[in-house]
Parts: sequence; C-alpha cells; structure tokens
Amino acid sequence: MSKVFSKLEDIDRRYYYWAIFLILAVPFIKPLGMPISIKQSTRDLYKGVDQVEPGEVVLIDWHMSVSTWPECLDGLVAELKVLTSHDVKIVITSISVDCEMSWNKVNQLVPALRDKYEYGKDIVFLGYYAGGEPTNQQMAIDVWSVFPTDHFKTPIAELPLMAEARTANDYAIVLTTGENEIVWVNQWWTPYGVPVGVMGIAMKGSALQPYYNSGDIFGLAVGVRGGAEFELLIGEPAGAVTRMDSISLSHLSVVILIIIANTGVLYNKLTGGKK
Amino acid sequence: MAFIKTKGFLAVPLIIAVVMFADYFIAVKEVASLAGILRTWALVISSMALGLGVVNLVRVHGKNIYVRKPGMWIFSTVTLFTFTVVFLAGVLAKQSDLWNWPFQHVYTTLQQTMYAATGFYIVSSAYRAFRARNVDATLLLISGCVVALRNAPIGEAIWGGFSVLGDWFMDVGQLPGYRVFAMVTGFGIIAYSLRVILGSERGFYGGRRE
Repeated sequence: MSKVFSKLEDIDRRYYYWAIFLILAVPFIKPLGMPISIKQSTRDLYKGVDQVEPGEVVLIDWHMSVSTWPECLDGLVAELKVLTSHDVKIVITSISVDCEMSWNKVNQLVPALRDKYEYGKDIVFLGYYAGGEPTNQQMAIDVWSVFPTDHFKTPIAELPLMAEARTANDYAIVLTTGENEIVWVNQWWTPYGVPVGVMGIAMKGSALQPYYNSGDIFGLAVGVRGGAEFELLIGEPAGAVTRMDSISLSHLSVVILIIIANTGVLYNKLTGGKK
Repeated sequence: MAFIKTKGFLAVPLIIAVVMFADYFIAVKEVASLAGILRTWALVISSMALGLGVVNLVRVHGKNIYVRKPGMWIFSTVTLFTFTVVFLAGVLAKQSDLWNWPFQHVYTTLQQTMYAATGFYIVSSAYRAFRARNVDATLLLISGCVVALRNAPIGEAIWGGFSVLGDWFMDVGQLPGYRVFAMVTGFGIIAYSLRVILGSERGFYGGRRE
C-alpha cells in the first residue's frame, strides 16, 4: 500500500503530460458548453466600449505578439466588432515587433474592417513604436511627432483621420491588449482624463485589479475567460468560448493531480513513512 | 574637458529632471517644447538601442562561431543565419512572400508552440511543488486550488462556493498585498530617481557606486 502512495507522490511526468494532452483534446472533439458567468469588470469594459459615440476616435495599443493570440485575440476581435458596429474611428499602435501579423489577422476576423471601413479615414495602423513610457507621454502631446508615417510608410499628414486624432484630448478612450496598461494610465488617464480599458493576459489580472478597483481602469477582462465573457456580452460566442472548455478541464486536471500528489504526502505523514 | 568627464555629466540627469518636472507642473510653452524634444530623444535613443542589440548579437554569436565554442557554435550559426535571412528579406523584399513566409510559417508556429508548451510545465511544477508539508504550504495549496476552480467555469458547475471563496481570496487575500507592492515600488522608483538626479547613483553611468 505504501508503495502505491509513494508512487502517487512521484508520478513520471510523461504520464500526466499525455493525460493533459488527451484531456485538452476532448472539448475540441466534443464541446462541453459549460455556462460562463460574466464578471463585473468585464461588463464595465463592455459598457465603456459600447458607449463610444459614432465618429469618436479610440486608440488601441497592442502589446500582443502572435504567442498571445490564443489569450487575447478573441477579446480584441470582440471589442473591434462593437467599435465597428458603432462606426467608431480607430487608431492602432503596438510595441510588438510582429504587430503586422496581428493587423492582418484582425482584418481577416472582423469583416467590417474590410467591408465598411476606409483605411486612412476610419482606421489607421500606426504600427510599432519604441521608447517606452516617454513615447506614450509624447503621443499624448503630439502623435505626429512619434509617428511621422503610418506602418505602411504613408506620411501621417496624408491620413485624414490623423488630422482629428493628434493629441490625447482627441481620443474618447484607450484600449490596451496584452500588457502595457499602466503607462497609459500614467500618461493619458491621470493627466488628460482619457479612460483606459484593458483586455489583458490572465497573468496580469491580479496586478491590474487594484487599478480597476480605484477607477484608474474603467474595465478589465483578462485571459481567455475575459475574451469569452466579452464574446457572450456581444452575443457572438466564438474562439474564446470554445477554449473555455479546455480551460475548465485543464484547471480541474491540475487540481486532481495536486490532490493525488498530496494523498501520498498525507499517507506517508500519517504512517511516518518517506519524508 | 576633464571637468565634463568628471563632474559635468552628473548635471545631465539633473537638467533633464528639472525640465520634465517644470513641464508637468508649470504651463510654459518653451519648457513644453524643450520637454517634447527630450522625449523625442528618448525615442531615438531607444531605437538606437535596437541597433546596438543587433551589433551585440553579431559580436557574441560571431565569436562563438569563430572559436568553435563547444555546444554553442551550431546554435550561434543558426541564429546568425536566421538573422541574416530575415534582415535581408526585410530590407530587400518587404511585403513580399519572402518576407511574410518566415513570419507566418516559422515565427508564428514556434511562438505559439512555445507558449502552449508552458502549460505542460505549469502542470508539472504544480504537481511537484504544491505539497502540504506544513500549515503554510497547505493554506497555499488550498487557496491555489480554489482560485484555479474559481477561474474555470467547471469550478462553478461543481460548487457555486468556489466563485465566492475565490473572489474572497483575490479581493481580501491578495489585493492588499499587490497594493502594498505597487506603492513600495513607486517609492523605490522615487528614491532611485533622486539618487540619479543628485549624482549618487554612479551605476547609472556605467561606473562604480559611491
């Protein structure tokens, strides 16, 4: 008996790697469709995005490389669907060097960006910027000084949208995707009062909660769950909702593995076995 | 010249700090213009840092290849070869298939594979590290399990209390800690900045600390 418990305490990792792989495959073969409750912070994000008036300009900052797509892309697409349905004008910047990949991807996934929006007039992709927080600060004063051209090397003066979106005061809200939220709070919300909404990675949820509670961030949705909640709020369940079943099973598997490992620990403790 | 080398450069952060503070607190057009120039310099300098990174990459990996460093030179060769191909594709054939192909079919898949693989390592580390060896560790693993089940819809399906309990752990348990961490970090940045401005932080200049 003690041998069994000792083995439980130290299972070869290859076994549970296979177990996790097979468990994660289940929902893709047969979706479970677990109900997903929606957090207040996601509702607030949706409300903030939904309240932007037609013709107003929203700045979206991507700190999202392709590796972050599974976590953040679906939420971003849902946000863009809301914004485009309201005819909101959009300016996009990024601090990820592969931002062009994300640009191409959202253009595939949000039909309105291709069919309804005219580049330069309704939407502009400014692309990558370096320099960290001083750059965000300078953008608040004059976006043109940081981006003399857009990502496709079009002079910024030739883009009609940028004539009306030159300083922080010209923007209704800022939406961040991935990370880099706090610099926008520091440089756009605190001095200029431009509200900041976050579609972040799950890992940052805890760190951002104080900013949401204090009102420095008007809405917060993190990880696949945040994206799934946003998809449900707009009534278009898509990739993130599908992935939530895998999240459910993986989380449950981790908890079961922890319980199995600790059964061995507990047994050995009670019987005075291996320490 | 000697003065600039020994003392003069210490004034640089002080002057920049004065300009930036003045820009924030006093609305003077000339100061705002000067602060704008400084911020643009910051952008230019960080762009130059990217170039410096390229030089460093070539130097370090070039040396590995030159001295045939065991276990390293092959990887260095792959790194430099990849860098050269992507660099040339970017310079000579931007927006072409040659430029897009490595991104779409190599970089994207590698990044997503790497990110997905971390999930397996997290499972492995959770299994090995979360052991109820004492009271503290037991509390940590209980709260960890509750929060994991709170974040997944299946947790709420098993027991509605996971959501309530998980929220309590997050809002009452960890939030004050994060607030303290954020505030301490803020004070730390202020203290460090003051040392830089006053010239006490010599490590900032690549020299020794006083």
